Parts: sequence; C-alpha cells; structure tokens
Amino acid sequence: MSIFDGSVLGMTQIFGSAPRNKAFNVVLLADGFTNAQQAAYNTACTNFVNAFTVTPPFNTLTPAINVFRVNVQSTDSGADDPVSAGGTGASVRTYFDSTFGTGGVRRLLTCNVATALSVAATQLPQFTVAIVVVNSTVYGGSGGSVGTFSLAGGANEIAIHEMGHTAFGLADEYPYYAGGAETGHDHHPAGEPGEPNVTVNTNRATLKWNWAVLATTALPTMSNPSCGTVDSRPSTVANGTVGLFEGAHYYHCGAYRPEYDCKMRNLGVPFCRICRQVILNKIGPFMPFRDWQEIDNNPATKAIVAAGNNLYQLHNNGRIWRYTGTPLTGWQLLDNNPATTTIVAGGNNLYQLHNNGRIWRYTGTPLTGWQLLDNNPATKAIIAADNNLYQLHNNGRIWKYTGTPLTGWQMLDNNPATVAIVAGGNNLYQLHNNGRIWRYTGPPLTGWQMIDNNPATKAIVAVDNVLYQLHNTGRIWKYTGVPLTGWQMLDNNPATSLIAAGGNNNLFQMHNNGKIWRYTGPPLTGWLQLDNNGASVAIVGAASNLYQLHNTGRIWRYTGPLF
Amino acid sequence: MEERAPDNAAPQEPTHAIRLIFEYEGDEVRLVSQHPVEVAFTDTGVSQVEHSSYYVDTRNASGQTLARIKAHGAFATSAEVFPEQHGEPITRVEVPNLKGAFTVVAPAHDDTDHVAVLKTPARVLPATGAQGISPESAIAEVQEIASFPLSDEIRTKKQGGTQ
Repeated sequence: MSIFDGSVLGMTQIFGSAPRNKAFNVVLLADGFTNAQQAAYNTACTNFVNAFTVTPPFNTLTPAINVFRVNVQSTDSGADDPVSAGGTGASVRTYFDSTFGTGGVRRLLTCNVATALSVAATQLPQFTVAIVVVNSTVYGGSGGSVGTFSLAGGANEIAIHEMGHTAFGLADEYPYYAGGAETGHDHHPAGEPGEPNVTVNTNRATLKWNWAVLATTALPTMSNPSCGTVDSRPSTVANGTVGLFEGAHYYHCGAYRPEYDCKMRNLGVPFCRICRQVILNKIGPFMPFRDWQEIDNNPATKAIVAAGNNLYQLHNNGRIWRYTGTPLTGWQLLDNNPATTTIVAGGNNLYQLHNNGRIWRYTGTPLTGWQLLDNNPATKAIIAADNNLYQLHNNGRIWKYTGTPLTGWQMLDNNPATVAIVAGGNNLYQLHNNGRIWRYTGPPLTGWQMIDNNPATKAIVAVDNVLYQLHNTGRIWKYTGVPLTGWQMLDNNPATSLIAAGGNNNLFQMHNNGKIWRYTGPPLTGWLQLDNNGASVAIVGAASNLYQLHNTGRIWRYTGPLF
Repeated sequence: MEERAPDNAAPQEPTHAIRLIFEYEGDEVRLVSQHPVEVAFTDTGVSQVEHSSYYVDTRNASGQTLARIKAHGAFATSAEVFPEQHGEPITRVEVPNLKGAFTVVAPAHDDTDHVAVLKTPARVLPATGAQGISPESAIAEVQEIASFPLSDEIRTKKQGGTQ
C-alpha cells in the first residue's frame, strides 16, 4: 500500500490559462482509481472544477486560476475502510494509501501526505494547493497540508473549505470543537488570533475588519446569551451584514466571526465578506490587466459621468451621449449645444450646466427633451445624488432644487469660503478654501456641522452614507462618524492624484502615472491594482461599475470583480 | 516619487524560490525535498508570529533570517470531520499519531544558506479571563526545532541566476 501499488500516468491542465508561475494552481491527484477507472477520475475532476469555479470569489478570479489533473493508477479500487471505524473492512492497494476511519471516525478520509506533496511538486513545481480525489462513494474527506475528498455528493465542498486553511490562512469560524456538547469551550482564551477572519477584539476602532463594518452596524452584532452552549438562534440582522457575531474559533463565547455564516463555519454556504476579501487579496494580484473593455474611442470626449448603471459622456463641442450597451457604436446623442460645460448624473437623472448658468434636466427625449430648471449666471457647479440636485454659486451660496423649475430653489448656505460641494444619497457636504469640511444637518443656513478642519484637504467624495477626503499629501481618509477625530487613514501615497467612489462601498484611487487601484481593505496595505496606463486621466465609479477616460478620448469599462 | 503601500497588491513578477517538503513524526522533522522553482509571491513572509504555529525560516550563513513563511497544516494534532448532511456541525477529533508532511515555498535570496523549522508555544493564559486584549499579546516567541542546509543544487541555481 504505497507508491509500489500504482504509477503516475501524467498531468493534464483542465482549467485556466494563466502563466503557471503567476497563478493560483490547484493540483488534483487520483487515488484508488485503477487504470480502467481513469475516465471516472476525469469526470470527478471536471465536477470539482465546475463547483470550484462558480464559488465566489473564485468565480471572479478565474483568469488567475489553473487546475491540473494528475492521473495516477492504483492497483486496486477505492480506499481502506476499517471495520473498527464502522467501515466495510476493505483493505486495498492504492498509490496514496487513502483510508477512511482515521482516528476511529469513518468520514475522516486521509492519505499519505508526503507522497501526495512529492507527486504534486514533481508534476507542477509551482502548485499552490494539492488535493487527492479518492475513488469511493462513501462520504469523507480531510484537510491539512493536502486535502482529500471522496466521490460522494457534496464532498468537494470539503476541499474548498480546506483551501481556506491551507492556501489562505483562514480560521474555522464554527463555535464548537466537537459539535457543541464539549466542555472547556465556553470562553475563548485571551489573545487575538492571528487569522484574519476571527477576533476577540470588540473595539470598533481597532477591529481588523472594521473597514467592512458599516457605522450603523452594532458591535457586537450578536452576543451569545448563554456561553455554556452554542448560540443557535437565527441571525438578527440582514444576510450579508458584516459585524461581530459571537461564537467562533471553536468557542461558544469570547471569539467573534465577521458574518452570521460562512463556508469556514458551514459547508454549503458562501464565504463571508472577509474571507472573500482575503482570497481576493491573495489571488487578485495575479489577475492580468485585461479586465477593461473599450467602449468608446473619440478624441472629442472631455468628461464622463455615471450614476447607477448609466454612463454618459460630454464632448468638447457640447454634445452629450448616453451609453446603450454596445461598445464603440452604442452611444445615443442626447443633446448638441456648444454652451454645455458640465453634465452630472444622479439616480436615473441627468443634468447639464451651460456657460451662462442655465441648468437643464433631461426628460427622456433626445435633443428636445430638456427642461430648464434655473437660469442664474452665478452658478458655477451642479451636483446630483439619487433624486437630489444642488448648485453652487460663485459667491459660495449653496442651493437645493425642490421641484419647481426656476423658482423652486432653497438656499442652504451662504459662505464665500465654499469651494466645492458633494452629495451621496441624502447627504450633502461642502469644502471650504481652508480645508474645513461641513456636513449639512439642516435647517438651512445654520444647520452645518464641521467634521474636519485640515488645510491639507484638496478633495472630498461621497457615495451613499460614506464620505472620503484626499489630502494634498496623497493621504486618503474615510469619515467614520465622529466630527474632527473620526477619520480613518486608508492610504498614504504622494502619487495619488484623485479618488472616486462607487456603490457597495467601492473606493478607487488614481495615481499621477495613471495607475488605478481599488481599496479592498485593510487600511494602507489593502489596495489592489486594476490598471497601469499612463493615458488615464479620470476614473468614475457608480453602483458596481468603474470607468476610466484616457487622454485620447478612449473610454473603458472595468469588467473584473467588484463587490 | 516612490510608491508605497499599494504596491503590495501590484502584480508580482516571478522570482527565484525554493519549494521545501518536510516530513514529521512526533517531534522529529526531516527535510525530504528541496527544489528550485520560479513563482510570483503575493504574500511573502510574516511580520509577526502567532502562538501554537509553525514557520520555516530561510537564513544566511550568519543565521540571519531572510524570509519567514507560515507552515499551514504542519504538526496538526487534530483534524476536521465534515458532516454529510447540510446543517450538521463540523467537528474536530484528536489525531492519534502525530505524523505527516507539509510544504512551503520560500523566496531564494542570493545568500540563503540554510532553512530552519520553528514553532511557537501555546499561549500562556492569564489568571483571569481577558477582554479587549491588545494585539501585541498575539506576538509569540519562536523556538527552533530543526535546521537543514540547502543542497548544492539549490545554491548553484541561485548563483547562476537562471532556472
């Protein structure tokens, strides 16, 4: 029962085309398949690939993933199955000597790990993960340095869970050691676990996944009311909420997991947001910069704006175009007026500003369907968010549109120091020329709360309930809700020239060399490069979309993964 | 201007590295395989070590650590048992015989001379239960349990600069 009980037939790449030295390489190894049963092994490998490559976030990382099948013939079929563990008593001669019943537990299916690692390394020196596929319909599997799984339905979930440990250093998130009835697992020992997906820390400011926690989410999010047992209540918050859920890392209390459920807690459920990010951070850097689709190529383009799934561009002759979905040709002309200087979008609304201060709203009919909302030469900027429209005058006055053309404008502030306004959802902010940032709380004129006061601030961007600022030093900060002190530094790079935000908490930055990065967390180190093109001059985010504009007028849509 | 933190996530180019395979039984560990390999890393090394964990160091002739890689799955004393029915708990059982193997891929620096296997002790618990313990408490002292010279083949590959 060893390598003398079979032979290695060869290796076949069955998924992916990434360079082997810059990829996440999975090697599958056959055990207990005779020479005549290699087709069954091939089918099992295909089934694994089909399950693995649709599992988030792997499904978005496939350009950086390869899967290889190593065909190995064994003298006998199946695996050892000792009677002492409730098995059939089978004792078979297989190459990797797989056996059920390890430790007296029939479902614990293990193999000769040293042999498996040696074969994997010989066949593919760059392998990342090795997994042995065992020819048995008895349910079983195991983890460790080499994962194993049998042909029983759902057993390949074991391999994916075990990858979480072996390849990504993820911890188990289940809150028990032996199902919950064990003793000595009521309270987690003191000390922060090193793994990225479990914690004993309940401090929002220092929580290692605080970047993914909304300010409105309570911490802890769920506490176990009885540490003598596992908390088996259903979630009290919406599915997908990231917070602190007590019961993790083999203990009923004192340790927390990021979401209510996760593949590191239960098989058959998705990875949680934090585990997905850990996986993305490891494989993402292997992704080629080919996830950009060119959707237009016109030197006249001077600006792009987006809202939701809508994208618009403005030409230097005043023409406004809406993207209808077909690259290069799918652009609909909405207006053609040389007076247009600016377009903005919010929700399903599109507005334009003319060089004489006139503001127009698009009502749906190309070229003729524009409604005049205001006519004031003092207007220097307009912004939109969802169904809200604001304008800024050159004397610092801020106005909100209340719905009646020309007369329906409410003055919200009147301060000559105002240099910019931004809006996200129903939130409005202004930036003063001394770097002070103010949040509108209402009522008009007096209802402004100063939330920062730093002369280094050069830009602010908002999306939904989140506000970011960029300093002239390149530092990027996120507002966490406490005026003046509640700013979390997300990056500190002098090359940063602009930041942009999209839906789902997506934040992007562009460097002065055109490189584009997406914030994936954690602060300072959690940035994933999306592109590297010196021609980039602007990036625009909206919903789950990201676009860039080149100095040649080319517009590109990012087609890679955005959460 | 020099770019900083974000480059951590930039696509890495393949570099010279060494794949090491170790076997262990009880407290004994052996280096059974060492081969040059060219791979791109996305998470080289660890900045601090954790309790109850195993690591592999690459070191120069003076004993200075050049890279430290966590050895996932090494010396596991328990194993996961998975449920056949969805919704049933995953459990753990003690492994009767501490025997197995693990592998790491470490960057190969020009002056890499030998490798060492390290372990960190289990956490010493305070007298009373603690809440809000500082992250620093997760840092553990390492203990070398074995070291192994690199083969001439590895040295030649590194100095030659080619695969």
